[in-house]
Amino acid sequence: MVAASLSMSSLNAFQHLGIEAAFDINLKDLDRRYFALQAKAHPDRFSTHSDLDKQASITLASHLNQAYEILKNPVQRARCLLEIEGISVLDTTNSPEILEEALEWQEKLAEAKTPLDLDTLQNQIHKSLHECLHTLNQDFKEGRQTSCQQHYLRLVYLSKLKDDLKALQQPSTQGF
Amino acid sequence: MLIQLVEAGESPRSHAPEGLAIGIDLGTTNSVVAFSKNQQPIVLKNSLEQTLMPSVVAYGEEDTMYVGKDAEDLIASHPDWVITSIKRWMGKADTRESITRLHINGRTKTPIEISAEILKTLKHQAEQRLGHSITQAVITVPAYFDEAARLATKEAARLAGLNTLRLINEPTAAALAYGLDHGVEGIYAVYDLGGGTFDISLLRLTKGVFQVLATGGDTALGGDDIDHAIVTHFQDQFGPLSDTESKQTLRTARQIKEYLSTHDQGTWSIAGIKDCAFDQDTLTQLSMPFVKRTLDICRRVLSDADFNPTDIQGVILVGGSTRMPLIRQQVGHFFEQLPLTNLNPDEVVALGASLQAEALTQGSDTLLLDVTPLSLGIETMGGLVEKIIPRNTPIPAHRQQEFTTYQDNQTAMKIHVLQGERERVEHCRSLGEFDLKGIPLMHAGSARIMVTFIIDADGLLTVTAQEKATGIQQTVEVKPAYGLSEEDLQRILLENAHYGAQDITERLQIEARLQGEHLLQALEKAL
Repeated sequence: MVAASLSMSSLNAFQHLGIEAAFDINLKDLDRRYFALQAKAHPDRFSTHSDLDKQASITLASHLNQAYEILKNPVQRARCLLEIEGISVLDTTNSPEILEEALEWQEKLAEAKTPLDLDTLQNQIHKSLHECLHTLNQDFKEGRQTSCQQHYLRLVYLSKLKDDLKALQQPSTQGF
Repeated sequence: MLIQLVEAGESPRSHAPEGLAIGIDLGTTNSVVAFSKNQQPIVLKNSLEQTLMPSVVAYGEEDTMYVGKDAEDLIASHPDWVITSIKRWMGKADTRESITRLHINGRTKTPIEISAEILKTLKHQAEQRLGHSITQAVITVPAYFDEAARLATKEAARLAGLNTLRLINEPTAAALAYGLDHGVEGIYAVYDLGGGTFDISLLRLTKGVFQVLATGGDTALGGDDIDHAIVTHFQDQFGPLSDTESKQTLRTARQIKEYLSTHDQGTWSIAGIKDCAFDQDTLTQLSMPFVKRTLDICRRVLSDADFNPTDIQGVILVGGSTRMPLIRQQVGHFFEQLPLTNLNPDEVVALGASLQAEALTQGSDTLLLDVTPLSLGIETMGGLVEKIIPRNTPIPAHRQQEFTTYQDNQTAMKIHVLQGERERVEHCRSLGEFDLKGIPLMHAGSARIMVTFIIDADGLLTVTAQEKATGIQQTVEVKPAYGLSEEDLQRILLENAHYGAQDITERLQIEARLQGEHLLQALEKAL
């Protein structure tokens, strides 16, 4: 059994929520839009309606939920924009420069032992993420395709790094 | 078409204003039923003016059965007739194929049947209070309940003659009752420690929108554990207790815990054998391991949502166990603020459920956006679980995943659906395995089978599969091992048939009384 792909409806996340496709969306507007649409589409509004209406509501509401999850998250939002603009996603193996960077970060993570080390690393990652988001936003605005591809890749590994670090800072999640 | 639906102005309202619905908190220790009109929820008391009904059922001699306080009172004289904390068994199975059955005073009952008796009694209590027959309810479940336990709850309601309009999560219901009452905004934590379950939910409250950001919990962690620890403490002192003595001591343990919520120490008679002094320090010592476990879960949920304890605007305490001073103090310490205690922790969940029941039947401006507490995945090569819908995904949710065949002319494919956070199949809860049959003869890798996983607003799953080349579609119900089988349901419905006559008589009585009241009112007006 092979999982081949994950696909969704023909509308993209921006279209589902009726938001203009851009990287630097206003998150407050996103919430407002999402809440306003869910207020009409959510199954709670259809509990006394026909089964057909209920089904339609589940489909619509779940599309809104997924679109919201995508747009809320910078990595997924960037990915969605790349797809819309027809920009392919690079493979790290084709970008030795970025691969090297990512490996350097992984080394730092492996070497971090004390809570203080982890905190320092957390600050560094946070700073790099911030810079990366800023540059990626400029890239999207000015249509710099190659730079978009590279900074998207950077964003992916930095986000992963952030999650890995978070897991290290957490007590064991055994039993969940 | 999509845009039209979205831009269509008014939110749809119910066409059936007569369709009254109640809210039920089906708890481990106590259950509560509430009703809301014009967003003013009230608890519906029983004929003795009590708000809490003990979630206790007793099966006596011949065909007698007792529910609630009457059943609880039998613990002292007939502990072997009595079943308590049945909620802990909901959705549990002895093996993967068969549902748990409990043997009590010569009878064999499933947890679903026993819970149905509690629901039936609550339904009856509500009908007495409202003077109206009730067939619809919103029922609360612990946020951390899995698919099987949710299904079991819905089936219990069906047996009790209630159509479940929605299952809502207990902390979400509490937030709804609290938020509507206080008009608050910001990030709130709901810490819900009941008799048998623990939940923690983080919600963002914005102008009538209740958005759950993350949830966590343990469905086998609650005040009961502290009671058992107290019993063990006495056993360590006095030597082993018989079954009957244990059940009686368990009851004493609860009394001790409740008494020490407002006093520093006291003396109790243990199983009628010995008098024993017990103080706050001993209780703290025995309770601490369980409180620590709840705080570990709080820590994980905060991290899931990327929050620090200080980001939390307020902490709402829910569940009888949060009356313990130790818990208030520890939770306050963890969140670095005084928890909110200006609502009754025993009633707030039912009140929230009744508000949602009103919203669903009469229309509403508030919006409840909840999440799925557990990740949903499928088995892949080597007994690993691939997550399809991660925990804390807003529901309803749906994801599609395409599969293909790995052998030439393969006509069937097995899909194993699992729930849980762990990596390996054996550590997750199996929701069911199903075969996709009738795949047309094709080379390996050329069939394209799209599998859709849908989690509805009750948190329940359906799976559909479609072979894209031929359009063959299969809907698979993921509901095998842990629910009641159709035969079980048939048997129970038949057994209940002779109670049906009694129910009808009662309904007629209620209706007659109502007619009489109307007549009196009309007379008064005329005079």
